Amino acid sequence: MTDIQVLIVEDEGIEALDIQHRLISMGYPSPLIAFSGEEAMDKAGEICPDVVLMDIMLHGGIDGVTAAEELKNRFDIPVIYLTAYANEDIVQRAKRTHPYGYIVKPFKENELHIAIEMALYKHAMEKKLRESHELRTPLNAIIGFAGTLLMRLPGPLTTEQENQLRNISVSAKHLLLLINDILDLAKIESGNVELYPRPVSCQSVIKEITDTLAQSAVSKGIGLDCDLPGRDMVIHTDRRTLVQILINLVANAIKFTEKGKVGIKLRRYCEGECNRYEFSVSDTGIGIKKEDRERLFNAFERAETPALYCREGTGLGLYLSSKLATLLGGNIVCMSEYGKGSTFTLVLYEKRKLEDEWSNGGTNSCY
Amino acid sequence: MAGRILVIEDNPTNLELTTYLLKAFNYTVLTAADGSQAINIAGRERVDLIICDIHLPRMDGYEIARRLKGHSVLRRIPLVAVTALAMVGDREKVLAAGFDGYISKPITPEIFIKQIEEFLNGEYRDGGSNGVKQGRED
Repeated sequence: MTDIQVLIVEDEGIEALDIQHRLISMGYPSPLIAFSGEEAMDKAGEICPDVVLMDIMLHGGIDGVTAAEELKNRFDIPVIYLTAYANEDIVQRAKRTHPYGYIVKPFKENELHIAIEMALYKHAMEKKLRESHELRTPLNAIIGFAGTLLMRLPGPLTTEQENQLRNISVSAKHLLLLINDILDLAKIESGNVELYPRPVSCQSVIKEITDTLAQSAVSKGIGLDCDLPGRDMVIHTDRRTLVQILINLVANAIKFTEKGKVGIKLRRYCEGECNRYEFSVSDTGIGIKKEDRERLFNAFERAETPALYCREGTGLGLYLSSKLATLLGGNIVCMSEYGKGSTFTLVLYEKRKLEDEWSNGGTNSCY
Repeated sequence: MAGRILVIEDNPTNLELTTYLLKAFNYTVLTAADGSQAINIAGRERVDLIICDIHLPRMDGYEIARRLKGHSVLRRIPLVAVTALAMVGDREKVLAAGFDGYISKPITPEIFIKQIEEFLNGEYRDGGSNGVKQGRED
């Protein structure tokens, strides 16, 4: 009926044989059994099963959650947890491994069949997602050759030709933004973002952002100001994600501001055992109406803005940014006055280390 | 400053674009459609810079980086990934694999040569906040 290879990881012998028997009766060909986490690793390496049924409460060396993580990382095999009972700690850990499903024992054949099919489907979708960067490959040639023509490398252009080539180039770049946002969103929502937290200099992050966006502010004739503490601040976080959130916020601010300035402000506050970092991006732009503010962080939603602003963007920027902020353990707060401007603040937290207390002379000094 | 650049790319149209652009700026271009061919060329000829795609048949860009950076002589050639992998976290993964730099696809032809020259001149070693050039501009 099917050629799906199932591996059962279960340390209770009778239980394991029962599941195996039931899988065979459902049409799964010769499911294999591993009686421990270690054996599961060996068997997975040998036979590459399509899906693993993992007892969450394995006894002995490697427990079920650790084994599931290893199977996903080393062999990219989807794991479905089998649970009879589990303490809260294990449930929390299991949640973080992004399981492909779980079944509570005792279960019916039909439930097991659905869980296996759903896990395989989710896994196949994730594989597709990983290959989806191919969407960008043809754009390389479109944007690239339009660019070489506009650079007049092959020869001179008439005004008409130049205008039409610019249209190709601008549209292709817009399509690229849409694809980037949608790929990022798909990756975030499927739980596949890998973070690389390390000490990050806040000042260097803000410099990178102003370097990247200074030109677009200058070309609109608006200022881009930074208000930073004199001393460099180091936060333990994922640099790339932090940069991406702030670029989104600052680019948005520039986009919706016609005159005046965009300001970036950085502050650190002490709050109990944590340091709270606030990256604020303020603008003197069109502002957001109160009724629009509630929908602001929803996917594909835009505030009602003049048609002038509707040509660009995907309506995903703020939604993505707030998702990314959540990944970093923070959030984004919006304050706005319609007609006067808006302030978006990214708030991140970091548990304070003992050395900080020492370097601050033991006081809760903030700056 | 013109030099000899090895381009590893399996997509013929994208290879044509990179080759055209580099030649227009007087670079000598060597091409390879896969990793083993590229490593052969790098071992045989003078190469000043290697531009490498990540998704390649048989041997991927990560494996190419591992082999080149594990080689006593070839490891000195600047190795730049030019790749369509531009999602959250991809840049770090590419740099962690041993690449000296990362340029995202689609390339921006107007600044591509400038980006390449920074690697040819060795500026990336002390330039930038963390010693590498930044990735996708969005």
